Amino acid sequence: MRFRTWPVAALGLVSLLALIAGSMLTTSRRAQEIYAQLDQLNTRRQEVDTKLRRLRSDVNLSGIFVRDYLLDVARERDPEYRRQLAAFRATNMATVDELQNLAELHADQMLSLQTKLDDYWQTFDPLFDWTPAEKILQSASFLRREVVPRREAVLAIAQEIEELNNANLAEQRAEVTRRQAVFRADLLRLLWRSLLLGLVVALTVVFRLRVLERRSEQQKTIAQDAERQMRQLSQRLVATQEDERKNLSRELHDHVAQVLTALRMELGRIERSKPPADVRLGAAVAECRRLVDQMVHTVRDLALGLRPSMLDDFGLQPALEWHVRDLTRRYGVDVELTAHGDFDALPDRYRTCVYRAIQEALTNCIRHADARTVKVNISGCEDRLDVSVIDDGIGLEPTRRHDGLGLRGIEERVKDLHGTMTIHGATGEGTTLTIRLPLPPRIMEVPLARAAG
Amino acid sequence: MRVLLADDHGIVRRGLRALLEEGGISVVAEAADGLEAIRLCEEHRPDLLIVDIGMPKLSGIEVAARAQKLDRPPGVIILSMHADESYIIRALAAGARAYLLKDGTDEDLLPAVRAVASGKPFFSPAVTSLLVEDYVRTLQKRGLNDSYHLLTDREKEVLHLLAEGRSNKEVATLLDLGLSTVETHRANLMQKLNLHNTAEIVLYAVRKGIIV
Repeated sequence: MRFRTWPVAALGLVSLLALIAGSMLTTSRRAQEIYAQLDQLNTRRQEVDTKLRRLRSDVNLSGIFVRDYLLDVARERDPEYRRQLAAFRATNMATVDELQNLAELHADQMLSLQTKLDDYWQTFDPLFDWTPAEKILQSASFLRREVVPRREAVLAIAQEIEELNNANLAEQRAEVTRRQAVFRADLLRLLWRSLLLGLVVALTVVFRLRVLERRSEQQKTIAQDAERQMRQLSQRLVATQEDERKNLSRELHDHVAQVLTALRMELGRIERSKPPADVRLGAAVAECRRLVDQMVHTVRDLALGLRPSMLDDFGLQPALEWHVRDLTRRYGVDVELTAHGDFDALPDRYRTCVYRAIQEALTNCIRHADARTVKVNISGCEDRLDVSVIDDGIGLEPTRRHDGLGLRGIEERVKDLHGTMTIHGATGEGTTLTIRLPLPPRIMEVPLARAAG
Repeated sequence: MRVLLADDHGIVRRGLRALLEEGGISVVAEAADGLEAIRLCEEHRPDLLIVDIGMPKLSGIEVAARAQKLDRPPGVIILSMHADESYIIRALAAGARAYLLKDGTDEDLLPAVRAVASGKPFFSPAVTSLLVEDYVRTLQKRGLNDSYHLLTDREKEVLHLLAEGRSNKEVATLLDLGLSTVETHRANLMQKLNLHNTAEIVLYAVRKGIIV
């Protein structure tokens, strides 16, 4: 099983996104919590402050009120004072209850405050039984001895509670700050983790991409090399085949045929020798000569079939003219060859390519297309060579278009010279083969090195 | 008669030499390549040059052409394996008077030597029949009429003599005409028959069966 990167990369990316989303949610929730805590702390402190202030002011006011009462000797307003003082006391007690709820942390102080307050308020209870004379006589000392110390006690404890409250607030603030620090550290850690994970994912993907890209590049190069090699191989194959044919044709022509010629002359000499050989020997020699003649013809046909010597001796046009004459002699086909341009300086590869292409096309015309007349046109100019072979045969059936090695081989040759080859032809309408070859800028090959064979 | 023999194959040369000597003709020298043939030609001044068409260094056609440039050019007989007009017409254009297929040398060499010696062209019967056959087929295929009948009697006479290898001057003497008149006849008949040089005149005559 091959290792696959994409599921790993996808997993990495998804977990990275999840991590980021998760940390965002947690962060916002925790920040909100901290703000809420701070808010709550401030509110509570303010409330405690307010209550304490009210408590103090109530205590102070009650003192003033009591003094007013003691100074007032008229008795008819006593119930009014008593009622108002009771009201002060009730408010005071309610405030203390509220404080108790708010500041439960300072239970000791609160208890002591309550006791001190009770004590303070109870001091006033006997006052309303006093006669006006008692009021005048005892007021000052009562106030000095009973009320003031108790009031001071209450205020002192209130002060204490306030201080405690403030201290508590600072403590809680510190706690919140600590939590904030923890939160910040957590956040930082989370960030680092995300960053690290992101880095790992990114690096993996980039690395893998690089590997894959390099591999694909390599494979492309390999494929291109293979194709190039194939081309070169097929080119070499064609060239080698042509060389072999040329050599073999020349060998047949220059050696085998010459030896046969000599052999024939020797046989002639035996025939004419004096005194004449006996009849049976004469007949045998005549038969030998006949066989040699046959062999000479075979060898000549073979040599021409392999590669016509005219192609190397005189060039493209004479070779094509010979080929056309030969076909007409053999098959009675009417081939009309027209050539415009000078083909003498055509490099060997081009000469051979065009000759072989036309040869193959004509063979097809006769063998498959059942053509009666064929028109072959070659026209060359400075930088281009156009060839067309048009027949009046049965046309190409689509299935047969690229059958056979022949046309494919021609196409290869044409492609090697950067040319194009096209075949047109519907069934029953004949076939047209066209080839266009770009010519190299005047390479003057030594034209026709061997000017006759 | 002095004959120079040029062929790159020793065994062929030996056979040819034997053949010639049988007919009482002496070979003054033998060459194994084209350049040697030219050199020996200059050295021995032979009456007749029998040369193989395909030789190393210089082809038989080229040797024939160069031999024509000598003061007293020899008659040239080309030996060839090729029975095709691309070779024949070039051989004729190079000044060869006879074109022999090598596989028929046995029978044709001595008649060819005699023909050339008497100033007449000679072709292997196989070559002649091939050329005539092609010509007839071409005429049939194209449906063209031979333009031979367009020639005047005088032009026909000139054509015959030219095809036999006579020079303009010889033709003028033989027909008792002025040289310029012969040249005019020659130009006219060449135009009518669409021929361009002496080699083509000879080839035409062979095809028509005017000369064999």
